[in-house]
Amino acid sequence: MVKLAWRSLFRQRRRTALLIAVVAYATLAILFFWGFVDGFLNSIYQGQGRLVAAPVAIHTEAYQADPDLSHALTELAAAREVAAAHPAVSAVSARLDVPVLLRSPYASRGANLRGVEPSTEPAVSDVPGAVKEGRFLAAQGEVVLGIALARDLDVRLGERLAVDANGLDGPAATGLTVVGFVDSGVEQVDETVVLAHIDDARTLSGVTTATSLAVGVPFGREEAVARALNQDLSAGVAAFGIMDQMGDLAQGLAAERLQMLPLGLLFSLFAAVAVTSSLVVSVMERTREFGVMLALGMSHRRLGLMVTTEAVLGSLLGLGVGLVLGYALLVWLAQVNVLGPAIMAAYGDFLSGLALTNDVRADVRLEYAMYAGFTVVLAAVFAVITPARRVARLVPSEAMRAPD
Amino acid sequence: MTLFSVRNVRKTYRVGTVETHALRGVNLEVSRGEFTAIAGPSGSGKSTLLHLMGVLDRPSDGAVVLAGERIDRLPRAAAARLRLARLGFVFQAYNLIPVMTALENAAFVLELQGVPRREREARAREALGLLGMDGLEGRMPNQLSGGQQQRVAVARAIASGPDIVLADEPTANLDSATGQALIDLMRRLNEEQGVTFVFSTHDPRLLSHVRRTVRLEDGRVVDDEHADAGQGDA
Amino acid sequence: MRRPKRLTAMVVCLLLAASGTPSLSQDVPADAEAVLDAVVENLRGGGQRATIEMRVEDGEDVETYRLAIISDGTDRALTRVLEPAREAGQAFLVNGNDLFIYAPRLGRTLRLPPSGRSDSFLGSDLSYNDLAGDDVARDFTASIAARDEATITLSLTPNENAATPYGEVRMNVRLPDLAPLRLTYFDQRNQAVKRIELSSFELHDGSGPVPTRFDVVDLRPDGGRTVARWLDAEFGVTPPDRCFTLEALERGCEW
Repeated sequence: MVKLAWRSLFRQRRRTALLIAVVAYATLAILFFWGFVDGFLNSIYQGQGRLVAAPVAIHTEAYQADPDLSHALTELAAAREVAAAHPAVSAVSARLDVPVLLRSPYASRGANLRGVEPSTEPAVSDVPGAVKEGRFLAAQGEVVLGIALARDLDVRLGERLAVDANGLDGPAATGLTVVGFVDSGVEQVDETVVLAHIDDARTLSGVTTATSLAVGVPFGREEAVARALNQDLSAGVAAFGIMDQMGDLAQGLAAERLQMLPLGLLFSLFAAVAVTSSLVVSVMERTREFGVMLALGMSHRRLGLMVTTEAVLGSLLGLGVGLVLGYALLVWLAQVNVLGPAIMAAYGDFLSGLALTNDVRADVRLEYAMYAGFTVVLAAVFAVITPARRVARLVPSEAMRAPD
Repeated sequence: MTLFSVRNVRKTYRVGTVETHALRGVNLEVSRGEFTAIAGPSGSGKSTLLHLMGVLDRPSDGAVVLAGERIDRLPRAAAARLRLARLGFVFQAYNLIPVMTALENAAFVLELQGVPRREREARAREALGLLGMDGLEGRMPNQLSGGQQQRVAVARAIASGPDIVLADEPTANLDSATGQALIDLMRRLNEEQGVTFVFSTHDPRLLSHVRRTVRLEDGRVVDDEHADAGQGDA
Repeated sequence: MRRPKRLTAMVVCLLLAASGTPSLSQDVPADAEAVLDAVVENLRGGGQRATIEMRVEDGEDVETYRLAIISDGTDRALTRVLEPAREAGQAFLVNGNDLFIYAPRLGRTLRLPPSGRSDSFLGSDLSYNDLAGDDVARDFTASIAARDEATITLSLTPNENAATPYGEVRMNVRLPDLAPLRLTYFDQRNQAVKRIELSSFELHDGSGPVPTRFDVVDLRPDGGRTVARWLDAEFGVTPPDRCFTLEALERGCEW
């Protein structure tokens, strides 16, 4: 039976090619849809992670629960040593986050001032690279602001900003000269970033060490490295991957993905309809042939089985081709940043509210094959029910008279 | 010895309230080894009669008996088994399976019967050889002429060694010379291999080599002429 | 929405700590820093108990408050809102660098975090942060910009990394009694953004001249204006320590 079906598929190349193309296209489309959706969400996630947080952050567990200055990382040197010893770690930079009030002559804003080590911060964050006007920090007494925050305060490069803080030793204040503006295109970043020299942050906060260590780690290895570091860090101190640092965002993105589900199902439904209709059409085209087969003595059951086998084989072939092409496409889109510039060119303004960087890579997950496979099976079930029922109703003497 | 017996068969088609009487009480007996033509103009009931004999359709009334067994009320699956095991069919043109070669088409019934590949191909080759199709076994139907296609159809019908071959207007789409050649071939198979043939035609020129001609008009047998006996049997 | 508005240490000294302790030196110093020190020192003298009317103008909107103030003349002050009725009972306690607010409707005392201090104080051109104050002498360097028979104009420029957003503050001081007449705040683009005029000076028991009227003018487009007038005042008093506690913030302080 399989042989019979296989021969029929192989000999009817044009029809089979069409079926394979339709199934493969549906498979590819489903793979691309989810790879793109997940890649897009990942990109927001990673983008925000590297702009707002750090690939991996080391701080006290108390600070993770309540980011208060009193929970600062006192054993800075020891933690730094642990982090630097891990082979995947490219850089380690101390940070000291202090809640402050920024004052210009025209306005004032509450903000979180991040004291950083100017020489190492660029290795652990994308923010220094997003300084589009002026320059990054070089010395004490300087501050770099998000461009939107700077606009709110109406400050210009070279002007002084008054900074008030409620440190551990009581209120403290200083004046910092604005040397650069961060224009990352990410609203959250451009509205909130305040970077200063870590020593200024120490003066303001009364903390002599840092609140956390930012650890540079290759893309995608954040959680694994955090786990590894946790083996060696002393009690009460822990390393956190992006997921832990940005739990709210992760939840938000999971919800976002859930919202894509109806769209994904709709997509699958269209794909299934396309596959079903091409299978149904291919059966209808062969009414006369089936009539001859029945007349020659093939049973309806056997004919139905043959049609089903053909449909399944053809769909499987299409699925295989679609999976190969789809995954090839996704792997390529995961390695080469093609989507990012394309999306930015098309929707950049519209998307500026999201923490979307210019770098959007497709995600490649095994489960997409399941989504596509489910769709094709669904389609095949429809397809098999319809033509098989049609075949079952065929009367050979009438079927043979069907037009070609 | 009577192989086929058609007894007072009627067939009425209903389309809405309109009734069409395709056969109005036909009686016919066919013996093993006969070479019989059913002649008559279009719409006289030839195809309907052959379909009833081939268990492709059921009579409205009357009985069809094959080798002493009534076959007109068989369930669908049993009818299919009967066709596969005992009957051979040749239809009007274009009844080859387009995705199969001439050899595969000729071997198709054997394949359905479950005959092993080697044996069925040998038998199909032999049948094709009898019909002068040597060397064309690998061709697809669309690479064959109409006459060649019908010869493949005849080879398919005889390859499995059926009790009888029913051919419904096998020459309808052929020119008269090719049609005549096909009839001659069938005649030779009848004489040399002993294959029983019943075929229908509306072309009176093809009837010169036929031993028996049954004429149908308006669903009734109007003449049954034996070339050697010259006797009607209506 | 009203933009938070900003004054610095001077206003704090003037509004909350103004007093008239007789400590005025009648000899006008020649050095700018010494003049500044003398002016600040004059204003920083001793305690006071006063009722102040504060009129806040913001475009069409005008709101008038009556405030009861107790100050020890250093860095402690207790302010309670008397009018309007809707705001009455609210109280503010400045104690060094700490700023507390009592909200009668909530029945609770809140300590203001730095970010909250940028909010406008009762919708005026002052903010809570102004009330907490900074150190003028530390943040600014004074020089004499102009001088004639009647007045001396000090130019105060911020020291490096001074915690002030201003580019310059000009202070007009009356001679010979060193009464501050006007403060003009310039941004770092040499645009005047705020002006405070002090007037209705009074002398009490041989004290230095004490201003009993402030006109705070926001010079930016659509800027508002706040006028504070001392309706009655006792200068040179010494309020007890219990007036500057959280209990006093919630229940008031009589003595």
